[in-house]
Amino acid sequence: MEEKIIEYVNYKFRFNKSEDVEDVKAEIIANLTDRYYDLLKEGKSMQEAYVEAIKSVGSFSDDLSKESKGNDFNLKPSIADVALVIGAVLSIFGLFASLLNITLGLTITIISIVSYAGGAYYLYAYSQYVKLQELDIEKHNLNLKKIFKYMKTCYIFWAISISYYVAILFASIVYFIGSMNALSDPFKLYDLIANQIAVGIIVFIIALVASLLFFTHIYNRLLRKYFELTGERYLKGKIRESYDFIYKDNGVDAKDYNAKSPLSVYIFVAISILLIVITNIFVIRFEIKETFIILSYRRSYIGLVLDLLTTKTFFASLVSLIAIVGVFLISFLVIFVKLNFRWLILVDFIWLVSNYLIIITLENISDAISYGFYDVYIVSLTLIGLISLIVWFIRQRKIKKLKEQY
Amino acid sequence: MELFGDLLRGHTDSIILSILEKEDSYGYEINSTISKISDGKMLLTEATLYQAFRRIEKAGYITSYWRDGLNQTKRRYYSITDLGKKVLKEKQEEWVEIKKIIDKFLLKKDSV
Repeated sequence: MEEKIIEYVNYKFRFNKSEDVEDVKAEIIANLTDRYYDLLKEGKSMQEAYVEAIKSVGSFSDDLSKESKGNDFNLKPSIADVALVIGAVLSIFGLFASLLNITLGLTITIISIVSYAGGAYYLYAYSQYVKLQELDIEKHNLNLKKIFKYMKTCYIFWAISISYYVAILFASIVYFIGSMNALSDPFKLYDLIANQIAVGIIVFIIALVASLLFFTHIYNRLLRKYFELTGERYLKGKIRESYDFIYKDNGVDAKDYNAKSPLSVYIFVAISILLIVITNIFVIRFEIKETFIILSYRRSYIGLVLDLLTTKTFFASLVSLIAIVGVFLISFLVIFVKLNFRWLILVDFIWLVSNYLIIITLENISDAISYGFYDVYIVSLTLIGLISLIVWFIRQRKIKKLKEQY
Repeated sequence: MELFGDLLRGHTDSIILSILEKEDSYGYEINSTISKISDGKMLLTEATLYQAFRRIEKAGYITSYWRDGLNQTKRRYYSITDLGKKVLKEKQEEWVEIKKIIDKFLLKKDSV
């Protein structure tokens, strides 16, 4: 087994061209051999002892950058690698195809999932084989690493596609139920379509948040598993890798993936988006009662916005729409780019202000006040403040806990 | 190791010097001693250890020589120099001061 250790150390330093590399290798081989025999004495099997000893080597910053350039191509590409790439590409294609044709999109997404899962399973099985039969931990780690390379990309596009299908499904249910008595009345039909769009959007957002949470959960579990298997904490996806390659000199910017678990932030984003959509619908419905734009019966939010766009309050409604887009955009950034969630709170308030603009541009403000739709603002404002406070509190507790550990 | 992170890593050099002050030793033995004294909480990787050795050897705090080991391998032994002993003493005094200050902040101790 000592030869294996020597082989491993030679492999590890194959890019090191410094003068004293033989001394370095001799020293590390001696240390690893000692550790190996100690582990045997503790009752570990030969294989276990070897793997444990090898794990303790760590990374040498001098040769890490040289090594990482060749990393991907140290192994012969297999059909499984291709399956992963196909899975990733199809996950993107699936989304765009489903905008044109649902059946086509769904089929592509399913093929993408199957392809990725198959490739990942093959690589996992192969890495286990390599570890047990060839005792090559480096090769084992590389194979496992490959699985994670396109995973985030796939998860994001799968989540969007799946949410889209669910939204379409719900919207058609709404249409199916509503169409029974709406077909005779053109006003009702107009409203039905607007409602259908509103339901679609809400369901899409809920499904998206749910599926993203689900995928994040899976990803974190796999990451933990990866850590248990390899002892390596640092892992980069393809996008991060490319980013570092472009913007970092040596590409050695390891990020501690265990440090972040902003579940509170995810929940906060989900609640605030829901709040925005729901309050908007209610606010506009109150407005509808009081303005001359719409006749006597209640309309849905989208229906009203469509109407507003054709009237003199065009500017106000545009501001409101932009604000909503802003909220979604910022929420997206908070989730994916780890943007500070204070930005979200800021945009929430911008949204509130923009709705005030709508009220101001409408003509009968006094009626609006007397009918109390300011209550909705006060309630939503209080809720946003409350949620922010809760999130802040949770974060403070986390920081306190971290401090106690030191 | 994970728990303490940077805090302990900053003291790797002093820890190695303190172990070498008693007697000459080699990489694995030093690492085992560190692990034993810290109740297994601090275990350095080969890379960290090796880089620390090179750093303090270059600074002239330790010297090294080769000796045949048990498992038919050569071992690199390290021994502390006079300069290293002096630096260690400074580090010890420095630590007493730092400890006092940090205690005042974190434990709200006014006198130690």
